[in-house]
Amino acid sequence: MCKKGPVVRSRMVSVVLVVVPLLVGGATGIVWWPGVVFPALVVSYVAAYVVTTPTAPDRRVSLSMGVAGAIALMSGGSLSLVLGPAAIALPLGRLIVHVRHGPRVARDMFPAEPIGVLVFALGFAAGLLLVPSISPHHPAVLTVFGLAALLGFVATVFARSLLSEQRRVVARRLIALRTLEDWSSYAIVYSSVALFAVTAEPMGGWAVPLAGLPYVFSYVSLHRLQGTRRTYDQTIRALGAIPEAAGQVANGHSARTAELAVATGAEIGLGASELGRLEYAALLHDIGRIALANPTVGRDYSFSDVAGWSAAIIGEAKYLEKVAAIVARQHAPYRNEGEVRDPNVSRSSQLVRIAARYDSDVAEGTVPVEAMEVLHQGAAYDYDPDLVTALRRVLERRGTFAA
Amino acid sequence: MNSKQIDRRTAILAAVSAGAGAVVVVVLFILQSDPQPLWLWGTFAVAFVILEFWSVEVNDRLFISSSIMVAFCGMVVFDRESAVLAVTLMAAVAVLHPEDLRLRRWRQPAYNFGQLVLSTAVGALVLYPFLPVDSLLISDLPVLVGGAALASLVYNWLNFRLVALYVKVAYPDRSLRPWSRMLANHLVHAVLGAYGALIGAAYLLVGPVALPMVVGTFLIGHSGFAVYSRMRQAHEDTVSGFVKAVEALDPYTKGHTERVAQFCGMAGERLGLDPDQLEVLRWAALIHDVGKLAAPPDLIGKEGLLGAEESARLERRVRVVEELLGRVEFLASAVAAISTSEDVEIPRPIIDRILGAADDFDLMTSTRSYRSARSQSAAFEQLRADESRHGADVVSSLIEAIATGEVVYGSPDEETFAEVERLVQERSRRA
Repeated sequence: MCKKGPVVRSRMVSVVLVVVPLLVGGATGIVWWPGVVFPALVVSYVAAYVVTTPTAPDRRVSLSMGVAGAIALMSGGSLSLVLGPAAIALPLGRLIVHVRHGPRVARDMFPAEPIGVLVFALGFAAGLLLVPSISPHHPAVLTVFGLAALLGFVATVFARSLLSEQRRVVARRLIALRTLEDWSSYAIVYSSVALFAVTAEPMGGWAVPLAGLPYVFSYVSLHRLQGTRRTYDQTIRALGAIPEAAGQVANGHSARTAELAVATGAEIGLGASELGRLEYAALLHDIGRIALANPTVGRDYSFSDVAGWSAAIIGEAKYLEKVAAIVARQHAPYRNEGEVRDPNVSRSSQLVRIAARYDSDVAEGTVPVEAMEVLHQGAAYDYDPDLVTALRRVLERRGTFAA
Repeated sequence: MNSKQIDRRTAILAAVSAGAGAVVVVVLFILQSDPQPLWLWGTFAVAFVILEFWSVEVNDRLFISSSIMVAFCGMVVFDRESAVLAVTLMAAVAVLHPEDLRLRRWRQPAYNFGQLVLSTAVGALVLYPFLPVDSLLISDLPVLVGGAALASLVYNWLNFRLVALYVKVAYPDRSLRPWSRMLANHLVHAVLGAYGALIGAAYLLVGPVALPMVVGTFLIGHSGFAVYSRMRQAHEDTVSGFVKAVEALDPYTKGHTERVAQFCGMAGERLGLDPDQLEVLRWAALIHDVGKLAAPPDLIGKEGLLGAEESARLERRVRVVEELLGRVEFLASAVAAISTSEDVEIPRPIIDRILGAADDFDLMTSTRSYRSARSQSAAFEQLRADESRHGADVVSSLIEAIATGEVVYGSPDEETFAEVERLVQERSRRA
């Protein structure tokens, strides 16, 4: 009963979030906009919610803000036209996404994206009160549009970090940082619809290629970039798993270490690029073990040797130089005798060390509480106590110690 | 042709090109009026220069520069009396690359001046008749945009012909494979040219308010492609770095992967593989030995041949790594090539056969822990004897490619090989 409570509450909230907008939107449509305009806008919103712009593989960003932007500019900021159809269409879109991509994706997008649309529409309507014109050609209107789009994006970021399903596993800050990475997807959509709205009247149908081509160009570039990022990640993961294939470490150790290190890094406030380097460092931290296949190594080696070999292998790729630096110091204690802390040991190196130790112990059969205890015992010298505490918070949030 | 002859010919070519470019500029100065207002021309010129030097990789090795878009936008914005001169002058100022200044090169910028001025001026002249005589109307747009696409095609074709001419003279041995994707390149340029004219029309019909949104969206796209290109390079560097790690495990295999990749490229080009196949072949060659990273420590660098049980152990580990790499989307086809079944009943794909032949050749012409290097001619003989395995076409292409090169691989001759082999075996007996 205790476990079912939050799930039931969450489902009820989801139902309310779908049903209430449907009713409000339906009423708006019946009262204010009888005719074909309203249903056409509903269909546009639904289609836009199901179609996505390029983003990281674990996220989906719909085009609903594009439809909202175009309607807002062309209707002079009419709230009923922007939000009425959206209130019906976005919950419907959510149901389609639920069926096509599963409940996790659907909950991840909804209600964060509709909240972004709502804040954008309100922001734009409020901003228009301060400018002398509502014509989309007026620079002041376009400035208000840009600011409202920014506000909508920020609202989406906050809503996602506060309401996303992932918040049970990942720090809210990390969810926000990852959503912020999508800024370019939002920018190209808002920018293209603004261009369309500005040129639609004077240029007629030519506004479509005029606004569409830069969007397609940017879409292709972001799509290719995300594709390359994805395959690069896959390559790093495949290479990081080679010591596992060789039977030198437990299966899945590198991936679990990376996941834990990144979650803890986000907990202590590391930036997005440092988290990216930390992830690669954790994935590849054991790669130096392949040097054990070299007959000259023999049995006389230390963990520092493994760290050195790993760093040397990773450092062969110029792009990974900073990752190599993290890995090189992964086995150094966080402080030496007489020091508060060793300034040469980065927090990322320590995070790799702590996450790897925890995962190795658990993989060898130590129960999580005891594995954590080992880290606490080493916190006076080997492990940074702040980071150990942060790891504990991450694991507690996940309920790791509850069982 | 020796380097002095090449130097002289490139110098003459650069001088002729620069002279022709200068003549075109002077003639246009006489025929057309100065572009006005000057600040607007300056803005276009800066955008043209930036885009000319900021070409991006839009697809695998397909690089484009969007400068033609700016040029044709300028053609529409400036009036007919100054349009051709305006865009030709933009091209004229875009020839001096900072890299040329740093390296104090003059031939390349001099040639570029003529090449860029000529192709831009010809492109502008093709577009000229399609420009509206009076104020621009929406009804003029189909003709204007179509004309710009045509002019862009002409510009791009001429530009590449002129570049190819210089490359042919300056680098007579260099393959022109990078231009094997000309059709895609022409299409992209036709779209960019047409779009440039459309932006110019928007500038005239709507006003400059439309420009920030066009520029902003394009900048995001451009940056995306630039990062994409860097990521691709990083990807290659990373895999190459790991390959070096593989080779460091066994001193006998140092440089093996690099040589096999080189032989594969040479044979693949002779066999007329398309760029996609060459790319898969290159990656397959790069990763074909990565499986060794998971090899049992006691087997790597082991003196003498492996026993059946040892070979099976090694094979199992190698298969696990291949399976891991096969999960990487872009490596899947390369892994499939190196994991092809040895079953003789199943026809082996050409990439697998080229890789097999190149790998065999390098193994034969390199010294290993269990034997010394064979001579190149003996390795050729062995490859011919194995024609049924690799295919006659693959074997002959590989042999032709290696034989026409300047480097001779393996022992100088079979006598030396026999003598070294005798000494190796004698040492082994004593041990």
